[in-house]
Amino acid sequence: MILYILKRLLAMIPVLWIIATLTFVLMKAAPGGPFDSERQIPAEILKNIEEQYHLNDPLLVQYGRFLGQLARFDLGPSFRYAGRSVNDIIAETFPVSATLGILALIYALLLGVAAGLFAASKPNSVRDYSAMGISMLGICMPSFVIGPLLVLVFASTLKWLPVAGWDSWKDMILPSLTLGTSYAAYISRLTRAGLMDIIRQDYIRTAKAKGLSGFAIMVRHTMRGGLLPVVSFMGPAVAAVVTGSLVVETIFNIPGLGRFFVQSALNRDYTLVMGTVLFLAVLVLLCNLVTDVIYAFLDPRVRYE
Amino acid sequence: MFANLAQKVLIPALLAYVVQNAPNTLAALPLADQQVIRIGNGTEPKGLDPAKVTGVPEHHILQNLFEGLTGQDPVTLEPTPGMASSWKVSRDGKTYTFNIRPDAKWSDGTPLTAEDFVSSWLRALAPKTASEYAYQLYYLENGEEFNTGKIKDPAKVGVKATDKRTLVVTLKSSTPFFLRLTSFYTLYPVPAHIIKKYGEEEWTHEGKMVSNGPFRLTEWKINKHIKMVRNENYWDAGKVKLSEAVFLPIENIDTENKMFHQGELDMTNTVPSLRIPKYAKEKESSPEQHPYQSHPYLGTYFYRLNVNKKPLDDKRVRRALALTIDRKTLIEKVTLGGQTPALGFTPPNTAGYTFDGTLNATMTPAALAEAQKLLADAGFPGGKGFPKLDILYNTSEDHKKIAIAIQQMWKKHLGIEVGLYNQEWKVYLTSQAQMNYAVSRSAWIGDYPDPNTFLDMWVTGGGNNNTGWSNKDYDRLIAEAARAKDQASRHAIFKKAETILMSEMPVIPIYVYTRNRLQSRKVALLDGALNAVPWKSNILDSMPLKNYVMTK
Amino acid sequence: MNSNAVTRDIVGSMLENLDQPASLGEGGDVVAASGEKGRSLWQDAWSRLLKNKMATAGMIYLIIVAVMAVLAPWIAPFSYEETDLALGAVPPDTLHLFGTDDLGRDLFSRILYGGRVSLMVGILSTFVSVTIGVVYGAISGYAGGRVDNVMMRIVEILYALPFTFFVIILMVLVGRNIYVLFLALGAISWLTMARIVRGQVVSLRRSDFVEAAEATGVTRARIILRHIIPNTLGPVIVFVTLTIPQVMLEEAFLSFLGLGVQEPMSSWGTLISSGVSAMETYPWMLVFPCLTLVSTLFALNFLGDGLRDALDPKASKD
Repeated sequence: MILYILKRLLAMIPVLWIIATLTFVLMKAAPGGPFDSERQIPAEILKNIEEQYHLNDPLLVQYGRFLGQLARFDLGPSFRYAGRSVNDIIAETFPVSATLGILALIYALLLGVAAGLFAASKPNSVRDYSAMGISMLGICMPSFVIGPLLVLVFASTLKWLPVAGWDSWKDMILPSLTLGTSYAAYISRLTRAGLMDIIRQDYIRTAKAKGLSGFAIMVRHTMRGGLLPVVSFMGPAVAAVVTGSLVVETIFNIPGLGRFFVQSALNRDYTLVMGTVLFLAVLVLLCNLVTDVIYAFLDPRVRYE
Repeated sequence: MFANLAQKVLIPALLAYVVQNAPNTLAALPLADQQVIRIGNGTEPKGLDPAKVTGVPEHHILQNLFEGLTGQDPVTLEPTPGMASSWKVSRDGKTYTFNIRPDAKWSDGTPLTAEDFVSSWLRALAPKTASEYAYQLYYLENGEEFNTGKIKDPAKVGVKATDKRTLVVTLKSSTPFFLRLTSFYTLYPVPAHIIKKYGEEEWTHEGKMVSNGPFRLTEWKINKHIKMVRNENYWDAGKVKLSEAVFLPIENIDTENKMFHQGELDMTNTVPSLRIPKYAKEKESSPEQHPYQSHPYLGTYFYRLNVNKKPLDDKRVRRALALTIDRKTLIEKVTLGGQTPALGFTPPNTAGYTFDGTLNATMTPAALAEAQKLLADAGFPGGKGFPKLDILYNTSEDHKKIAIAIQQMWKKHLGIEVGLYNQEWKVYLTSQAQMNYAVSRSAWIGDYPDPNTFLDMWVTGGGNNNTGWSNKDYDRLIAEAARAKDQASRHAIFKKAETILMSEMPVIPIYVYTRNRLQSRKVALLDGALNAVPWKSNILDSMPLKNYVMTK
Repeated sequence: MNSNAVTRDIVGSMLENLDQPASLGEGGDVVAASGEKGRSLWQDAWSRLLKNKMATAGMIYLIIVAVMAVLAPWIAPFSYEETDLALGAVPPDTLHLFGTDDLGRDLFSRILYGGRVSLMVGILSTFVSVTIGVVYGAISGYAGGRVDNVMMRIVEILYALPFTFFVIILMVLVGRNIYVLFLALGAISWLTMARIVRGQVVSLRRSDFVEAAEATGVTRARIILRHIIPNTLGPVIVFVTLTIPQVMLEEAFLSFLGLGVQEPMSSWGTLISSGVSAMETYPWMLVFPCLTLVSTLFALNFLGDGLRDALDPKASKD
């Protein structure tokens, strides 16, 4: 098992290299540069700036320098935010996104699994349809609609919670709900589907025949197997959710990492783009690995050598 | 560490001073107990190094952390004594002698001397610093040459400290607005001792930065807030009433709006345009109480025309397009912010200069007839045969709506087909710079209150011209204006130049900007007699918190 | 922005419940072996689908929406682009069923036209993704061995890419072009399809009828085209109904970023994103486009669920 994990970790290096190269090429191909602005900078000043940021070197030299930086885990200074390094920015904003993401996932898991159980305990009943109908709504509503709606109701109208910010626990409720809702919806559907699959199997029928109640069977016998799809869903979900969501962070003005994925690209902040893209890629790869390992523990049929 | 010591020793003494002096002078409005202001400030600043940054959010923050040789009157914008307590100008207008005030200090208590200005300006000009706004110092003798590396010796640049308190500045030529420039952030002093200690990058970070303005930085969380508290080492700290200011970068304007209504902000950066009609109506019934404010702003919203592109190379076509924009309807129905129709390029009353435009605010039958005739003369009667043009704009809800409305006006009045094309900001900038467009949405915000900042950009080959338009007479007039002896003759020359610009029409002025914001009525201004009076933004939208006070 | 990473996987997770080899492999075998029995199996699925009320309702609703979108130029009461600044935003009335937007354009007409774009984005992007996914998966699964390994490793690498980021860069690079949007969105979602099809093919490859075909000397390409791909049809159909809504949501997200279709054209995504800022002033500008999108996605999901159940005989036993 340890050997397997090591192998997977090593395999990440070429993957990351490919991603880094692709990002580099795309960024350089995009029109405009980090220092374009509505007021054109005189050519001689632009020359100074490009000199300073090594932007007038041949592309291959820039590429080489950038790979060297990567190897040292130093992503260099941000082009947009003078005086900030990319490492600083990620270190400062990632914990915020991670907190928000984990809160959202906890909420999504609790609500999702509960709703899935609720629905699966009596398939094709009113309770099943209503639970699944509501979860469908969670999937179909864009989060940039859910967020402002929640703010309108709970902040602007009822005045229970703040509109935006990131200081106290109160600030965390609405963004977590917004971010977690679609995940909750997916998890509930997966839970239901996974459970339904198990319920049809023989040993459950036996348990039923022995007179155990539906809910008891559900909890005692089907949870472990029935939640496997949820586990495989959680891998990429964790990676996606802890790196932040542009929509939620913009709507609630949260100082997280998610805003930089799009912002840095729009600003042509080359180093920050690279930093955020690679950071996300590493997280995705790690989460997939962890998921596979957990899967192996939960499902005796899967073995990694 | 110094800051802490200073705080412990100095604050009690100064507080006692403030309390003694405050009550008898502030009779007009009662003061709030908590002198804290929270300001929505648009986007995260690019940085806090005065020499390296550009932009409006940066300006709002830096003008409160730092102070230049001169300050600005918050209402009239006239230069006031800042780090320099007084100054003398030589008869030829080329040499300025500034007397640095003896009580000038950095926020850590270190004395601030004339030498600090010399090193700061040379730093801003040094090629290594890579300052985008270095050209603000090109007015100095040899400033440009030093910045571009033609001269290596900093001693040749026209800024010298003859002693600790005396700064002598030599300019390339007489520059009437130089004293306005000295309050601009590129010309602020930066603490050489702190930069040396922490390095070029780190010195602006919280806990490290030292500044010389009315406030000093305490917290800087990226995309969250910038907090500053009163700088007790500031020479005029006794008059500073606010104890703390918080700047929040809020990009989503609907969020900002809701935060204000929830009491999480005292001032917003802007107002979502769809809400303005409701606010304006409410304000009619209670003009004093309502937080909505709309003030003139020194900027023009306009469309650039690519004069190299057929049929825009024909000035009759350009004028026909300009005439068939119903500016008043556009403002009342689309932009909604109480803007003024722009009938010339320079906003009216720019430092006393007003150009009587030849354009129309509303769609008069005369203007319509003229436009249709011009288009017919140009060979497109009723719009027949007119090639399809695109309006280029950068992605934004407001630019989009304006473009749609203008597209429809041109279609209706001239019978021409116009497409819409939006590009993301950086792509749009590239297209505009490469003149890869037909009609391009543009804006120009004045750097300083003077018509020159609006008119010198249209000279042949000007870095911001980007229309392909060139006119020898125009170039000559702009050069002449720089040499004019007095303001009246200068303005007369500018009027001639602008008349040429508006008859040639390489640009279509649309409206003069307003600055719209919500501002709690608690926010007040300390006037000259230290009375708290209601505060309204000035045309440069500067935010001198030194003069602000929170009332009950 | 990262929702797509998850949505890509969710579809996969849901399809895993299809019990790949068992249900459809069986059905597929039969199709290839003897036409008679196969048809009845598809007919079986069809009748099971019709019994599912939600799925049937979803299907009917979708047909109505699609027909209305197609007929937009004939049935739209107003132009989608002509502004009426003097009118401005008016709430719904008998003249303007869904009200008008702040530039005085009829919202009902704009939704009709927007439906053309949104549905087209959904269908064409899914078509792109299915085409790439099926071909890629089939080749990988059928070739097996080293080729399979390499091809699946590539898929794994692509999974780690922040796709939305690349879509944005792509949109920026080539400009705002609706066909790029189709391609980009399609390119996002083919990975899961490829994995599913590969799984199917791997199990099919060892089945009797393929071995028989191989023994009689049929070419590989022909085997893939004639025998393997038709047999993966079931999961593909389900995948399609579940992917279309994901893509449509992704389009709405891009519109929110200002990267949607070019004005004056509209899509449901662009209508919703301008509706959000009008939420409190002109609520109908949000309510109607949002209801239209959500109900359509609902219908698609119900249809997808229904299809999954119908194609999976085990599910209907309960």
